[in-house]
Amino acid sequence: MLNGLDSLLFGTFLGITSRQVTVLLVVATAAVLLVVVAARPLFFSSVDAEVARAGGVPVGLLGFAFLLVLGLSVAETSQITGALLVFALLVTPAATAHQLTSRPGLGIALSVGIALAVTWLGLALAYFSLYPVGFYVTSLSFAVYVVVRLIRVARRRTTAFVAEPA
Amino acid sequence: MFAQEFMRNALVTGTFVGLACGLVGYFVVLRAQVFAGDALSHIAFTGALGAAVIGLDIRTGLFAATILGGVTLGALGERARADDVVIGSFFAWTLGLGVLFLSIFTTKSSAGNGTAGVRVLFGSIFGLSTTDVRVSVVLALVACALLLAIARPLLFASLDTAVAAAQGVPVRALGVGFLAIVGLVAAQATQAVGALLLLGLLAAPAGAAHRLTTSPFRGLLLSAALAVGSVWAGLTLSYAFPTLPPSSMIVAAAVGAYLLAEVLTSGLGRSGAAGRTG
Repeated sequence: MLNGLDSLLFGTFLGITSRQVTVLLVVATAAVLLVVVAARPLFFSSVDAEVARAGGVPVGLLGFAFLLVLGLSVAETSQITGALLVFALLVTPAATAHQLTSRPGLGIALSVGIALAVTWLGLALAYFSLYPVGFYVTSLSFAVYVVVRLIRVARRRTTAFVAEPA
Repeated sequence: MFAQEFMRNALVTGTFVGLACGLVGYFVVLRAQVFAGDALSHIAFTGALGAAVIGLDIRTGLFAATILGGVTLGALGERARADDVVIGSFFAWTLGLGVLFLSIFTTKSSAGNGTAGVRVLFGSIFGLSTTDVRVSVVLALVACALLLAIARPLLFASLDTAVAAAQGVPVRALGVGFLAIVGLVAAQATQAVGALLLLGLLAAPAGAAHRLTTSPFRGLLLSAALAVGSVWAGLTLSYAFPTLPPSSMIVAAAVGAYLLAEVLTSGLGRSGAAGRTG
């Protein structure tokens, strides 16, 4: 088991009070709502900031609001994975989704789905073993990313082979 | 202050570690590989604790992990400039692995070794033995020598990869070799300032040097001087005020130097009407 500092850095799922659960739930809902409300202009300004600005989208304000939501999410995530392992839930599932699809809606759904699956499985594994949840969550999410990446590389190679003789 | 042996050890080690960090850091910043340096610091943590779990010397694990990590990063990234997502995912996972080792290690040796994790994360420059000092000095000099040996082609390859490759410079091999050297230096710096803070010593003096001069030769010198100066300032501060931990003081000094350089150059840019950008 990890002591105080280590569990702050690497996460723990023990001793989260129901009060904390409420707070986390409220914050998470607010963050999700903000992203959903701003989703379309945010997507526009991320893909092409110049055109979005010309189209009257408040790019600067959106960027600021997005960083705010990002901050909220990081604080939320560090409750589970610890401050040092936030990346595993924040970036890796999204990177996997980007590998799988270029369609934004599907990508977001996939990213959320992977993150949820990884967290639930990680919590279950940590419950039935001695080892910290941060380890399981990071390993699972990295494993998914690696598998997807390998499949893509393999597929690209086979299509290249097909295309070459012609 | 020089009468204390631990302080002398810290100063000697810190000087050479700072020198290596400053020189290597200059290229890390030039090649925009700061993130790779960060990843290596996390690999350092995992390597050290992994070695502790299987009963090896922590330092052996540290060096093996960071050098291997550097080579892996170099090989993974396209054209040996590893991209952000690969590095990020990889280092999040290695840190997760490190947590596993930490938890195994602390449960296995419940008798008093619970501080191993904290020592690796935040360094232990005041707790070095004479052997530690000798090893660090030799390895830091090796890293500096290796870097200076490849400095010219590396500079060429960093500034214009395509032209360098066309001229027959082995760009890819240089990139991998360079990250291996960064790994070596990262392991060194982990002992001085710890895995979490080594990025500060690697990037901040070099960043300041890049702000202050565009000449590579002067930049390298300046970066090394600032890194060594930060180590000295940090150690002195920490000696004078024992509540301040040496690693955070060293990094604070380095970041302070960077901020100062930033303020100075932006001030100059505004007063001197010459259109200096960046």
